[in-house]
Amino acid sequence: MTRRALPALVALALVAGTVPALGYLKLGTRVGSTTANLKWTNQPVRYYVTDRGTTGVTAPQFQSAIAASFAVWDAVEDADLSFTFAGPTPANPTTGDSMTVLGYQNRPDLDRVLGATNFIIDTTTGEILESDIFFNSSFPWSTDAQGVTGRHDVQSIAVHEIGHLLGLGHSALGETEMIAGGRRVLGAESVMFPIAFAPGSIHDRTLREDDIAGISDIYPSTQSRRTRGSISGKVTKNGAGVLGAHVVAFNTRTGALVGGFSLNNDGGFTIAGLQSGTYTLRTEPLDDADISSFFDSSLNIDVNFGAHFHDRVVVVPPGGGTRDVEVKVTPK
Amino acid sequence: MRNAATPFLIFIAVLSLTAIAEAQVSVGGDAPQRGSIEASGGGMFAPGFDMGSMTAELTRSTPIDKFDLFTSDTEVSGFPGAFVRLGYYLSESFSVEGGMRYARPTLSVRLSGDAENAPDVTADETVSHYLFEGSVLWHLRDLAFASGSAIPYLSGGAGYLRELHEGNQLVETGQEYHALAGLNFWFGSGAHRFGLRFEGGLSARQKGFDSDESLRTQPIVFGGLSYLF
Repeated sequence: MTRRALPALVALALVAGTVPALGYLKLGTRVGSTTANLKWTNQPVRYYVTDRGTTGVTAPQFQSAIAASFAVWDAVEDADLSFTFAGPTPANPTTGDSMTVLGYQNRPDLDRVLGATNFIIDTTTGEILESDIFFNSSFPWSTDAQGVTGRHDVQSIAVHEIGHLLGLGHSALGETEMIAGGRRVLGAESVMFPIAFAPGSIHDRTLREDDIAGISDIYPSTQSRRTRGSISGKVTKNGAGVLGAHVVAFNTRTGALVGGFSLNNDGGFTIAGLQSGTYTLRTEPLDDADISSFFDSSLNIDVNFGAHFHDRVVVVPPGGGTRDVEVKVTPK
Repeated sequence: MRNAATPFLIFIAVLSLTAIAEAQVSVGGDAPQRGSIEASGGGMFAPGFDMGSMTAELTRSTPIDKFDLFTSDTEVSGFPGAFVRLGYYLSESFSVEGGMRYARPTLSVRLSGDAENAPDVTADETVSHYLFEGSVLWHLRDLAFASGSAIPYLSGGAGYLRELHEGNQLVETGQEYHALAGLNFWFGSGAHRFGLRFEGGLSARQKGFDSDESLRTQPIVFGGLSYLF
C-alpha cells in the first residue's frame, strides 16, 4: 500500500484572503486518469484531543467543544458517519503517528491561519488513514456559548476543520469585501467557506444545506440515496468548456443554496446531495480571490465571464439526477 | 312520468304543485334517469397564480440581517387542458362522476437583483398536471329550460392531484376540492344522445408543485361534449 501525506491543499480556515463564489468541493487524489475522493472507509472515526488548553480555554473546555463539533456532523441524518472519542492525549496534532489528534499548536508564523487539517491517505483509493487538526494558539480563543468579542469560537472553527477531516474541501458560498490586511466576510452560507467570520461569531457552529449536501454526497446514507439527487452538465463559453466555474443550485421552494464547480476542461460539473425539488442555476467565476484555496494553482481556471443565470428550471428527482444541463456563459 | 318518483321531487310537490307542474312540462321524458350513464370530455381552463418571492440569502456575521444574493419570483401560467368524466345517475336528480383532468402549465421563476449584476432571467419548465376527481352532481330539473333540453346542475367534489415536473421523474401530489355550477344541453330526445356541457366555479388546491401548503382557490371553467347511455 502506498501512503503519503497530502499536501496542504486541504486545510485552511483563513482569517483573510479569498473568494466570493459558491459551492462545496470534495477533496480528491489522482489515481491514474481518475480522481478518488478522500473519505474514511473504516468507521467510527477514532479521534484524540490534546490534553492542553490555551489562554481562555481549558483542556476540558476544548475537549467539550471538539465533541460538540463532531456531534454537529454526526447529526446529519443523510450522511452515514460515526465517531469515537478515544481520549485525551499528550501527543501533538502531527501526522505520522497513526493517531487522529486535534489540538493547539502555537504557530505565530501562520499569522492568517486559525487552523489546518492534514492527512495521511492511501493514494490508490483515497482512503483517509489518519488526519490531524491544529488550532493556532497564537490567536485568542473562546468556548463561551454566546461567543466572546475579539476571540475566535473553538466550535465554529472545529466544525469547519472537521469538515476537511471528513473529506470536504472549501466551499465558495460566500461574499467578501476588501479591508485593510485582507478580506472580510459579508455573508456566507456554508461552514466550509474558507474565510472565518469575525472573532466573536458563533455562526459556523451550524451546518448549512451546502455542507449537508456535501457530506451526504461523500457518505450517503441509505435514506439519502433514495431521497437526494444531483444536477450535472457542463459550463461552456463560445462552445468551449469552462474550467473552475462555480455553479450554484438554488432550491426554488426552500431557498437553499448548494454549489459545485466545473472540474474539467469540458466544463463538466456535478452538484450532488441535493434535496429533490426544482432548482435554478447561477454561475459565476472565481475571479477576485485566492484560487489556490480551491484548486491546484497549476490549473488554468477561467475567470473571464460574468455572473449568469441559467434559463431553465432544473428538476432533481429523489434518488436520481438531471444530466446534460448546458450553462452558457459569455465573456466579460 | 319516470322522473316524478324521486324523493326530492316528491318533496317539491308537497311544497308547490305549481312548481312540479312546470317541471313536468319542461323536462323531456327521455332526460337522464336512474341508471343512466354519462360520458363527457372537453376542455378546461384555470388562470395562473403567483407562487411568491424568495431571496437567496447568505448569513452575515451580524445575525439580524442577511446578505441578499438575488431574488426569485415564481408564478405558474394558466392551466389550459382537457378533462374526461364518467357519470352514473343515482336518480333523476343526482349523479356521481369520476374523471381526470390534464393540463400543461408553465412554471416560471424570475431571477433578478443579483449582487454581482447577473442579467435578469426567467427560467421555466412545463409541468404535467393530472387530477383524478370524484364529484356529486345535483341536477336542477325544476330549473330546466329549452323544452327540458337544458338542465342546470350544481357539483361538488374532491380530487387527487398528481403533478410531474419536466422529465417526469419528480412527482408531487396534493388534494383538490371544487364547487361548480353547470349546464347540460341535450340534443334530441332518445335515451342515448349527445349533449353539450358547460360548467364553472371554484377549485381549491393544496400542495402539488405549489410551495404554499394552504388551500389556494382559483376560478375554473369547463366546456365539452357529453354522451348519454
